[in-house]
Amino acid sequence: MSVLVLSPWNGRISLRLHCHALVVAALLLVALIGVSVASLMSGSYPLSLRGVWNTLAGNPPEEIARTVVWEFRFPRTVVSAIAGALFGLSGAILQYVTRNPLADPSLVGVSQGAGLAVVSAIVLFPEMNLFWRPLLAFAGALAVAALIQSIAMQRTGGATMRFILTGIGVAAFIAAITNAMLTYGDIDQAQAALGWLAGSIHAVGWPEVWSLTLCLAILVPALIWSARYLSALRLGPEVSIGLGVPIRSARIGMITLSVALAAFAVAAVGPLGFVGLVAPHLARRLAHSGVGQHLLLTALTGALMVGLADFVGRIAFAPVQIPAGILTAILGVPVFLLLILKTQSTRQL
Amino acid sequence: MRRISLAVLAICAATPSLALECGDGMRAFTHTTGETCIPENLQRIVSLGSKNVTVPLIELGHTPVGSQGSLREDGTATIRASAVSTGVKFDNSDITFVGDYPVDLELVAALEPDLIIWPDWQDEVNMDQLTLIAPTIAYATDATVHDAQAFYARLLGAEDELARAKARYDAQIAQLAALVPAGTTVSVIHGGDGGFWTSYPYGNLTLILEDAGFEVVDIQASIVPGEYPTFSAERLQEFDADWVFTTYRTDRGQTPADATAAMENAFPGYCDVLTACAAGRFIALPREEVSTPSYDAVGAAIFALTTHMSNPFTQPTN
Repeated sequence: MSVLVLSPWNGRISLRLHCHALVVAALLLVALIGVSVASLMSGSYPLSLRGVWNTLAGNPPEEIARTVVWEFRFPRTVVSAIAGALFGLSGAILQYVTRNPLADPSLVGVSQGAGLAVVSAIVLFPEMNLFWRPLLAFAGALAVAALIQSIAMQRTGGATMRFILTGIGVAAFIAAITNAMLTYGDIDQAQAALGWLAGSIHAVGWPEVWSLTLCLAILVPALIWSARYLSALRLGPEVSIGLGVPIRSARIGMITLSVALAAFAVAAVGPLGFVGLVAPHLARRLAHSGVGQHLLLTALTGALMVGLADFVGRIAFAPVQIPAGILTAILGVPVFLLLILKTQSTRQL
Repeated sequence: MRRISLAVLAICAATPSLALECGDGMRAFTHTTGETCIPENLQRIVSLGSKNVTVPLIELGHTPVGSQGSLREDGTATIRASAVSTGVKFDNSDITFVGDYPVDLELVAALEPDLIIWPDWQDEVNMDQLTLIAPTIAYATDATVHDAQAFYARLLGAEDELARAKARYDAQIAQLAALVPAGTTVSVIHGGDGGFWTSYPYGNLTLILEDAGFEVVDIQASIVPGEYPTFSAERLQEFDADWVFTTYRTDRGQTPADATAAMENAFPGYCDVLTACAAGRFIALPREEVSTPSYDAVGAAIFALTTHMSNPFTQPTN
């Protein structure tokens, strides 16, 4: 496996890049751009490639084309890609910190917290303005994640396993309350809540684009800076301590970062399941690399998964719209299983 | 006091009017979520609710260019309740199917509507998005047939048609009421998972029954409007009444057998427990006719009820 070593700024920063991972990242980026272009060009409103291009350039063939491209297609395309990247990154961080390959944002209560907050609002306060849903989702996600962390960090020693068990327990408790709301609430409100829980990018607009872009701008630099802690944490607490990592604060910081990434994404598009769990594994199976490159591959994989799911869900059975949350699993699982089988057969050989 | 009143009047007179000012060819229309400027001469309405929007529009003489629809098991789309209420379907009209829940926003835009009607349950798309396409008004789905028809008549300027339909309803109700002895009780229930569910009011059915002089049993009348509670199967007898009704969804291909099977599943031998059922007064009705804000549909439901009330062999004896 060829490795490229870069040492810019007189060796103050040293980068060890796997060439194969770089190629895979480039291919994923090309695929993501391809899906995005296809998404901008396709839909129930008939627009040629030239029409889309002219609209993007500020000369729409008719006024309604500007609305379709700039207000519907463009925000959906951007939000689906960013949300997918955020879910993937959140899952990858958790898998590194907990050293548990099954970790994803639902493990720390992000999905359940957001779900409980939004379902409660829909069922108990049906008159509430839709404007509050993302804010409630964000607050619910952070509150439940903070609760799980505070319980798990009560005592020292065995923190990782306690964190996982606490997360599973609290998440199950909250999911039960949410299910009770859905079961006993008004049937129309319950249907609306189920639609949100399935994960939908249908209603996103520019506010979601700006909030997720802000999230990327703030949290991704923090993630890049802290990647070295992840490299140590994945080797276990003893090695991490030996490498001089302040393990308790590093773990809390990384989990908080993971929660924030997922909370922004959930607030925008609902609790899209499966992406946070699978995107890191898909990325790992596509190319072996260091932590930094793996995070890049994970972000691109997550973006591609959700972008493709939204694109297919929007046009495959139009005008019937399939929620992206359903299609991420339908499209992602076969690919995931194929990669697992391929990896196993390679190892057997 | 008089000085204060005069001062208030003076301030009010000096304050600019808050009424919505619309351009030429437009008028202000008050709806569920506020006031919106809409075209005076509506030509291309897109309805985002089949049963509650499309059907009353057609009944009042306006065929929308696009409508939400429900998907059948075979994948085809249907304007719920329209076939039996108006005879208009997707395949015998120029109405374009724009999706179910949520609707396809781009297709709505492609139809170039001059007005979009958004029922409040269609909340996977929001008013802000729709307003980018065309003026959009909101409609409260739980409105009674009278309120709904008045809303659409005001929208379409069809007050004369509304007056005739209301007069017909009153005459039909008077005919039914003449067959209902004072104190006749009634309930509406459905079999569900391990119990029974219902609501109050139950669409147009409760409205018709109460207008005709029936008394809804206490357990149903105590339900908070807008809720659909499930009751334990052990409380079945509390729903017993002189007449007990259930409904089935024809848009999903259901028949009365589906409704009775659901009851049997919830409480095996239910018909022996409900005296109304044992006496042949447990009636299954198609849900579309009793839940659509359409005077044609309501008329059909009243006729069905009149037929049952006219049967001399199933009348309660008390």
